[in-house]
Amino acid sequence: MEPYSPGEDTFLLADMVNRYPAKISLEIGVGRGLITTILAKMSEYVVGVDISVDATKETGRVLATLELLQNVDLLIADGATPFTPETFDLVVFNPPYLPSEEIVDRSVDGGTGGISVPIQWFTASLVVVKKAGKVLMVLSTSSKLEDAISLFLKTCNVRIVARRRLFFEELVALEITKRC
Amino acid sequence: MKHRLLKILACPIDKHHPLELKEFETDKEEILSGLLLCSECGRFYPIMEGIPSMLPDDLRTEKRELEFLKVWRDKLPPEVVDDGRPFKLKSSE
Repeated sequence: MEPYSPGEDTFLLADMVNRYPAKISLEIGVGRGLITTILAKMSEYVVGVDISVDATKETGRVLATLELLQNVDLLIADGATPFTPETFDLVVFNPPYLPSEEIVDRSVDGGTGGISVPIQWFTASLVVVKKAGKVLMVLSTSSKLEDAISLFLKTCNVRIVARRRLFFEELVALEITKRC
Repeated sequence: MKHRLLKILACPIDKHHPLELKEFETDKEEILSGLLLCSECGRFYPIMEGIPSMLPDDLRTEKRELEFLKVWRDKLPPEVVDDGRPFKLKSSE
């Protein structure tokens, strides 16, 4: 599977990640490693996962070139599923959010309303993030953003920390804090 | 893969922790080839080219993983050979 190449959504998330120092953070969907290189500088320890073997390898090469592998571990996994509970201070992802009836391209298809996959990632993240820990994610107004936010609000506090207008949509950067 | 990752890894299927590590090939701190075993459900997760692969059954590639198991046949625990999940080396031979 082709790794996701950085887009406007990646850059929006990159700006946000730059403002969140953490002890131990998890990135879901490392893609080509752009966010991972920032996390490596902002967190004491970073774990990065991707469902794509090629993405995981490419990110490994990028980090090795920049000599950033000392505090980063990479693995192949489906989101936040292979971790112990309440482990991370910070979970970061730019999920696939393109509304789609089925998931064909896992790097962009978000499922029903474009929020089905982001909600799956969020739900698994909630298990592995510590109490008062944060989930940072990007979503688009082209997906059912309001529905996703109301679900997050049941267990978390949600803050919109940045917005970026594109031609047909607006990208929204969310800071989600686990309440309990 | 480095040993420090074991502290936070759990089986993606049943969340069992800790997983058991079998090392086949190492370079200093780095485990290049090996297996992670879940004693709860009996699944193995391969570490190939230094990268652990912890996918759910429906996303795993049987061919690639069986080839990997064949390479390390002599070092595999008997339970993986006879009864490994989701793929058995024995029935594929």
